[in-house]
Amino acid sequence: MPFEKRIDRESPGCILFLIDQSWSMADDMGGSPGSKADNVAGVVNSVLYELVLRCIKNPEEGPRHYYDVGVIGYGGSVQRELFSINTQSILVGSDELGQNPLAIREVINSDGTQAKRPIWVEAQASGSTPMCGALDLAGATVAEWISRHPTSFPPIVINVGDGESTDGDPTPWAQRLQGLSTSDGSVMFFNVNISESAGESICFPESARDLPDDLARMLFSISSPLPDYMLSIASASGFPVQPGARGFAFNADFAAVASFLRVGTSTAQMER
Amino acid sequence: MVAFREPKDGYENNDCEDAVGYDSGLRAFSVSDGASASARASEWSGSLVQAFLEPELTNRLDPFSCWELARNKFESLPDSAETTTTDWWSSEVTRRGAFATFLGVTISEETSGYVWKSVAIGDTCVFHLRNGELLASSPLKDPSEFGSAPNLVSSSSLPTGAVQSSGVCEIGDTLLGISDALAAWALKRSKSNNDTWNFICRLQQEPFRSFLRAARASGELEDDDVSLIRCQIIQ
Repeated sequence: MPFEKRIDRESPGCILFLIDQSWSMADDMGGSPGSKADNVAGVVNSVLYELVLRCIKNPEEGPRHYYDVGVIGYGGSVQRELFSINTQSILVGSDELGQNPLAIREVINSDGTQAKRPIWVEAQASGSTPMCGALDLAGATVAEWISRHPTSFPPIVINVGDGESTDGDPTPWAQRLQGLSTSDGSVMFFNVNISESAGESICFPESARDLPDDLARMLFSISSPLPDYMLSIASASGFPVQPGARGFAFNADFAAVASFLRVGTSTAQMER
Repeated sequence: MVAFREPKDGYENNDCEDAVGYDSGLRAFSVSDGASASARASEWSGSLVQAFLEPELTNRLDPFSCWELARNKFESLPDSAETTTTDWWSSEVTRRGAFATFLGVTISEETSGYVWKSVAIGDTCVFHLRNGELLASSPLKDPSEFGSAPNLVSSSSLPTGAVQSSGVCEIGDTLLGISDALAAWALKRSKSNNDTWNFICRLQQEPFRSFLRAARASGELEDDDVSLIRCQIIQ
């Protein structure tokens, strides 16, 4: 059965984010305060925070290397994020990630207690939308990772953006990515289209029939179907998913992006 | 009573996040399955089992008394001390707490006979057997009830969702305490194989390990930490 490989230090998982950093990301996000770039950076930092916490078995030992994690930004050019980790690699271990945030901010929890919140990614918005270039780099990165981890849980790649690619049709690049696999399953490629205006979000649709335009239908077509375990998690998270649901969100506001990424970065078995 | 505790395939004993214990004098046993998603899961499951078997615990089947004692033990462990490091995660990990399932069983001699009573939170189960037949199981009764999100006891908040059960034993009956993977396997297999419970009753340490290896390799048994405690009622 695919998607059953346990994630541990011998067989780490791989999660790669592609973030649209084009000029339009400076616009307000529909239904949420702040720009799209601010909101996306905030959600990705939250996901990375939870991911690192999942890798801690003993606070004194620190986070374990259960995942290789990467963030690729594309706005004008394609670039590696996670600058705070001293490496040229796109992917960094969750242990290194946890030890080297870009900054640590003091926040107040809902119960009034103070807490430290690390950040690794900052908001950026400039230039065009070279999505194909980002997918090209993601494909090369994931292929190289799979060559070193051929039996691991398959990589999860999540693209978050607000518009059309300016460097060509991303379909063949997405198909190349989805054609890669470990012995435990094919690479999962998911897409989140964030909202321009306050309106209804469509998350994990099983068909393109309710999608309003060509961009949405194209992004749906290049998004991977959710594996069974992720369907269960999506359902338990309150999404009314049907069999055949794909890892795609359209016109997603902040809450929808956050929920989507929690489902989309889940793995079938807990990290050990 | 006899207990077995085995880590996931390829792992060391100290990686095992299950805890199991018994006290023949107290006529009590306990099994707890630490949740891998939380930090310090093995310390918390160990604290719960130790607390349940503390002679000073006056009302053993009251989950709140047991939890309070377990939390005191857990917080007195060295890892709980505030670290002097500048990491950002220690306070958050401490705030979130550790999580585990819990099963505690007592046996007492009453006018109706030997009475077993259990308290359980989550999917670690007690089974009451007579002549190889299953008379009762708690808190779960069917393999379909096992899932990836069982109820858990947190080290940072009062326990909820405790299920209490009881039954009357005869001499020769067997009680089993089993963590989720093997409990689900046994309930499923017993639907098609009448010898399942006798098979578990016959297992000794080395055959137990061999059985786990084979069942995991065939995909019949989830590769998870496994604990089994077997208690036979004797004169």
